[in-house]
Amino acid sequence: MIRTSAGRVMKSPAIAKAVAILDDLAHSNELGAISAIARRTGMAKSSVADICSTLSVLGLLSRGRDGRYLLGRHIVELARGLVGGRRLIEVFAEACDAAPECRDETVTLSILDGSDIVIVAVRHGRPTLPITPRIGLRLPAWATASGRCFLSVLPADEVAEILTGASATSAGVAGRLPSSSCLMAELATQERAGYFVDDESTAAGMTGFGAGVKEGGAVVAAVVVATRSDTLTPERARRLGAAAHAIAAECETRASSADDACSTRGIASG
Amino acid sequence: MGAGAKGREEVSVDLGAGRVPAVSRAVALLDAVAASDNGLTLSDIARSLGAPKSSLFNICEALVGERLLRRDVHGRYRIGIRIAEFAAAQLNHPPRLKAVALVVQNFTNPFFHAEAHAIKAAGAAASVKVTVFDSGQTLERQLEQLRALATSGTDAVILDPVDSEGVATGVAAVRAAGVPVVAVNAGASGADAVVATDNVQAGELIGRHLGATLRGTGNVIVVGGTRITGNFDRISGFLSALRDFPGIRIIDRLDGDNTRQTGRQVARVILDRHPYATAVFCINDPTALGVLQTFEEQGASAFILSVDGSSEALRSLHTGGGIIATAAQNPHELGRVAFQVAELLHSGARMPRRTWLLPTELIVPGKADAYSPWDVREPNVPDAASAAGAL
Repeated sequence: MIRTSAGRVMKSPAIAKAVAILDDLAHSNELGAISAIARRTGMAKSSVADICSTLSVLGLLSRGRDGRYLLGRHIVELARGLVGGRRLIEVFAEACDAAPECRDETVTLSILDGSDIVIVAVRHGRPTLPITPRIGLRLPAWATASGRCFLSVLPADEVAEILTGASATSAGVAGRLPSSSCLMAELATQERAGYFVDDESTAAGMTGFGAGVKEGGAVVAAVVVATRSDTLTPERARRLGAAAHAIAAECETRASSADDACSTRGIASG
Repeated sequence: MGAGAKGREEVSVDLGAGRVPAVSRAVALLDAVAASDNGLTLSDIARSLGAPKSSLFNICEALVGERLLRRDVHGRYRIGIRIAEFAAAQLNHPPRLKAVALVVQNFTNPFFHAEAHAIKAAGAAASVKVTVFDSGQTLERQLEQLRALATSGTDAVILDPVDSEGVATGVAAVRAAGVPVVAVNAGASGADAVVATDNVQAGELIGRHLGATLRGTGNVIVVGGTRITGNFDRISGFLSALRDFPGIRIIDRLDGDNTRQTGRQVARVILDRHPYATAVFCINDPTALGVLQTFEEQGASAFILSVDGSSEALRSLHTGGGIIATAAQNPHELGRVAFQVAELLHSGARMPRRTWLLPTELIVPGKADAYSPWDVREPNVPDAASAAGAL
């Protein structure tokens, strides 16, 4: 009996097996040989071989010169579906590197999902934060700097609706759900500064500076530079806010360049 | 497969592709959802894939269960967050290189020092051990080094070949051991990838500049070098550009071995055979500097042109005679890109191409001030001799 990772019995065992293989390769830092994948996932070798071959034809796996497998490029292309069809997740790390003023800070890329934001890419920083951002982490949109980027471009009634469905609690902070009008006023003030601030609403001791990655006026993703509040001075806050804005702009620019990630330009410019 | 999610006009609907149709169907479904701007309903998906809703529902639910899809507040299917986790793994965890061997033609020419330095620096930045081997400009030595490297446990070989064709058996031995070979600076027969200066372009730039300088008439001698693609390419580009100047004649073709010493020897032959030659094109700066030295000693004069952009050639740049132009290569960039290509090959990634050509820049007296030659900052030269001794 094949179960999904959520524990439900699967009507499509082949899909569960395929996901188990992708998971296995995502977590190992080496190319996977059929036999090694079979051993680690507990599947029959023939089954692993069939599914790997299919996933490889579809581009979700790619095959090394020695016949071993690794995750394929098409996974990254599918991930574009999370961020408005753009190459944002691919260029995020480079865009972070291009902002030297926050070299040691944690930077995240998030999307809006209902009344939450979900982190879709992380560049971990050096200082430890009160919470460790990871891909898939879901946080209340109203509380986070990234959520504020999305809410700032929505009409008041939609913001009110999102707040209705929102959880009042966030990590380390309880019961501070603001009223819609308060939040709108705060967003308007922050927007004038050029970036949005999460002043310990998500977690005590952590401040986030957010800027939206836009396409045609809509925010498709949001960049947040997160730091420990006890390291902040007004000047540093201003610089990190500007850095969030610069990274978001860099993401837009890099995602727009039509060249493939593996083109000469990608390689030659590092 | 492989097209970006956005901008794809049609979603692949070959539901039966691959040995496991259920997986193919699921991926076709993910493709359709990824390509949509605002997510898809079950009906949208059924329409897009041309399959009945009843069969697609189970797949959708399975994919939602695995977090490869999610349902948004409006009940539309969208790409799930687990795809972001897999994408991060794909982007962050190609199998890491641990050890790279660099085999260079020689360490007489500062060009190879710069190239080696760039590769050592790229290696240091990526915590990859780079071992450097000096072939002393001998093919036999280079072949011996390559054969030894095949079993040395290195993850990749970056090779600046002494002879593009002659190294074929050595390249084959390394590749047979499952170790990728990146040819740098010149092609190497059988190598997995080539990272080179756009040498044809370098020759063309020089040829056009000479054509303009001579106002379309003159007698030109070509001084070639060793049997590597880079040299042939430079000459091809040079001759190709001169086709636009029918009044310029190539009166002789001589070959050195890329060194200043053979440049001097060739110059004596030129002075003997063609004392009234107007210009000499040399395939690299050391050869050109050798020719210049002998010409100056003998009180002879001709326009000399070459390729490299070294600081010594730059100092000799002069409008009135001697070296009048050099097309600058960038050995730092060559080394850096070669290292990255080695990383790509080692990761097993599908290579988008086999050849990377880096552009050159024409350096003439008026432009020389703005140009910073690659051998100005003398790099820390790796101790090649001792490493080579180990083989």
